Amino acid sequence: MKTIKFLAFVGLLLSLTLLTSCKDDDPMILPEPADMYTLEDQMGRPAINTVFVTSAEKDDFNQTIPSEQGAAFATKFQNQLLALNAGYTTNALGMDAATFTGALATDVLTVATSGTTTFFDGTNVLTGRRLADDVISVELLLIFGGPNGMENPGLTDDHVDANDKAFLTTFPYLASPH
Amino acid sequence: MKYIKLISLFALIGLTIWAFFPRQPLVQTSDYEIYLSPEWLAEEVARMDTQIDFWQKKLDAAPRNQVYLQKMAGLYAAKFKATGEISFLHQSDSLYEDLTARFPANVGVLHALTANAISQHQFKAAEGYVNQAWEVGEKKFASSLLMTDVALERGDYNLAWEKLNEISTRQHFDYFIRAVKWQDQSGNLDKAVDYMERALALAKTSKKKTLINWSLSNLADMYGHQGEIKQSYDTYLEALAQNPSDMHSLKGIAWIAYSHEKNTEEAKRILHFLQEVHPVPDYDLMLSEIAAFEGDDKRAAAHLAKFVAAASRPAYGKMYHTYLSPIYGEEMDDVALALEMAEAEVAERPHPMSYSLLSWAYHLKGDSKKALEVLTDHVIGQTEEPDAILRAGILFHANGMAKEAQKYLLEAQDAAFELGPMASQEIADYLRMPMARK
Amino acid sequence: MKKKNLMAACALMLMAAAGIVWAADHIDAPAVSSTSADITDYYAFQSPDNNDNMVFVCNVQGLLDPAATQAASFDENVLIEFNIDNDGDNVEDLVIQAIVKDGELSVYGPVAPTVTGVQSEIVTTGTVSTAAVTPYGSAPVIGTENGMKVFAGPRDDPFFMDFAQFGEILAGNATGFNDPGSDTFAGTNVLSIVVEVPKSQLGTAATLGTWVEAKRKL
Repeated sequence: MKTIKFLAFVGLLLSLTLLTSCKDDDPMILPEPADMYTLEDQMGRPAINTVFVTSAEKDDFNQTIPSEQGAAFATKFQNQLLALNAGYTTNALGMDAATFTGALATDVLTVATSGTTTFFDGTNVLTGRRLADDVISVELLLIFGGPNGMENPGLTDDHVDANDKAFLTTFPYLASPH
Repeated sequence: MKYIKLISLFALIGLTIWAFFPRQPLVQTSDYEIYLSPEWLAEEVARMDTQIDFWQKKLDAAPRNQVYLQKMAGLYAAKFKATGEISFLHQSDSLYEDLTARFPANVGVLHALTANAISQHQFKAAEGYVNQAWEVGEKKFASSLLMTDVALERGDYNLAWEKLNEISTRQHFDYFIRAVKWQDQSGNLDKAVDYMERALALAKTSKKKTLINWSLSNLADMYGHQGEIKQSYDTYLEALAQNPSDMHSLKGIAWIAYSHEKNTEEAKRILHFLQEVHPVPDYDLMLSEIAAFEGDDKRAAAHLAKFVAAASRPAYGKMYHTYLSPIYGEEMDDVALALEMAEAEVAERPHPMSYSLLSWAYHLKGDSKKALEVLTDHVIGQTEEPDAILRAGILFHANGMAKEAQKYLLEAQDAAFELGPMASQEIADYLRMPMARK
Repeated sequence: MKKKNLMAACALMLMAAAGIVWAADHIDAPAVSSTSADITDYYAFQSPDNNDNMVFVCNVQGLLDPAATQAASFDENVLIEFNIDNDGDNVEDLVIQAIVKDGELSVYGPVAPTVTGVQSEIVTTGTVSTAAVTPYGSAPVIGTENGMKVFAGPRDDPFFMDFAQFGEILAGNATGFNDPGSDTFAGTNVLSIVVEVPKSQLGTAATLGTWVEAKRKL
């Protein structure tokens, strides 16, 4: 009984000290705002964070700059790939798990300055991303489809192949809002 | 010398005129008359209904689509905030509960459940949800913010402090408003106002009207706390300019009309409008106080009975326990219920304000020893909320502790505007009243 | 006793009333307001309209229904930065920085950044191209300066996916997609920033490494 009371007293003291110390030196005083901007969100290729980063690490991935992503996340991406598809061997691009996730872990979208722009059209790979590219089906195919794209047929295509509104042929290309 | 005399004379005349000239009251009907129209809220609700229709059509085609369900749940919560109709909040909750059962790792849903639970004063449930979100690990920034909110309500100041300091991006509206809460509960009102002003500045550059309005109406409350009534009034008006259906700011103006200017007719007119468009129990409580101030005990009792009936509806759960406990204890002669509610409130929200209720309930029960014990262990020195300070003063007075009674009654007197004219009267009475030394 | 009771009753009533405005009834804080910096999508492609140009698109604030679109606005504390790497080290050599101030989009660059990585400052030594933010329901307002085209405003969300079914699969509630699928984003809008820039301003690499960032003002 005495102990309990004593503990309660200590607890009270703690919270009081806390409040008092705050009153004294206000550790929350902030530096004068500079004209700097700090990273909150980033993106290279579509849906990479959604698919390959675990919930616990999404925040960290978002705060890791691309030049450091490969080293920090390649193994984790590989684990996640095998968690999604335990039977993964290689994919339609002939990449084994380590090669595939090693390439994906650095979330940078490569864009060719000439030739065809496409996410993947069967011939060209990752020469950019057009509005109409069915990027999700491409990614699903590479994750689940196996070497010839025939494995896991229920998972290789979401069967949504195009946008609900036609894109424009001229700037700004995106369709007017609904 | 002559000039000095002349100047003094002018000064004297000036002072006399200033003292006797009828001053313009602060509250001018023309400043806000435009907002006393049901159309503003109707417009807002119509817009929300358009949105609800939009997502409902999508849901009709895909009833289990979690994205649409989440949108819908968010809209119902917003509709509760706008209309005060509690059933919308329950609708929101039940959608979120289904979603979290199907998608336990959806942090957005867990955060929304936390916010809904806080709205319903279910702080234990809120704690559970936000801890779950923290465990999942995504969106830790938002989890830290909500954990700060919950810890402050749960009286866990060490955790609140820890969570607040975990937040690294500090030029952030979300951070500033938690810093406001921290400073406010630490009794540093001036610092709290400073942070709130920074939050407002950021809200203005974010261009989000809801945030600007929210910041302004809270800032207006805080200026009132500081006793800056004109600034408070002007800021409520600014808030209303951002959101013409801002009931909180209209209520604030009604309070200024009543408490600061004793203009009960105008206060009642605003409150009657609010009752008409925004059916929450709260307004009857203020109307009851105003009636009592006007000396109409019968009307005061009627409003109080209406409040109790509405606030006791099962749909509200524990939302109004803070008000109901003392009312049951005093007005309804049901001290047992008052104590039960206060104890439940302490379990849900072990915060100095809840302990103040508990100590008061013991006092009503006639258990002075317990009342004083709870008061000194959990209230004194831990909150500056005028309600708690006033209760402490009265309690010390009732127990013949003259020095303490005077200290807290005088402190409560400083908050005359917030406590209202009836309290000021009572405080004065208590301060004059002789008491038996114990 | 009776008198004391009455006194206390009065005191109580007013205390309860005082609480209405000031005490426990502070309006709940908005839980989290900061979703305005959430990037929903990023696109980079050669202009279908002019082979000498490259187009960059960044979308924020997804899943806007029409009424929400009408009310939506860019957060003016948030900088959208397109990063371009020319030498394959995944560090930005050029940036295109887009920010809205008082309803007007300003696009700085392409220009070499003064700092790389997590923090940025706006580089004003290069070009700046501007356009008023296009209001909902209006024809696109296009800024044309420095050989560039710039746009900011609400658009149809160009993304399409059965996102809901994918979520069911990830959560273990389903084993595969439906055929036909259902485009979760159909009928919804986003806020878009679109920049078209001459390839000649982007260096000489045959392949650019690109990514986009949303950065909040410190």
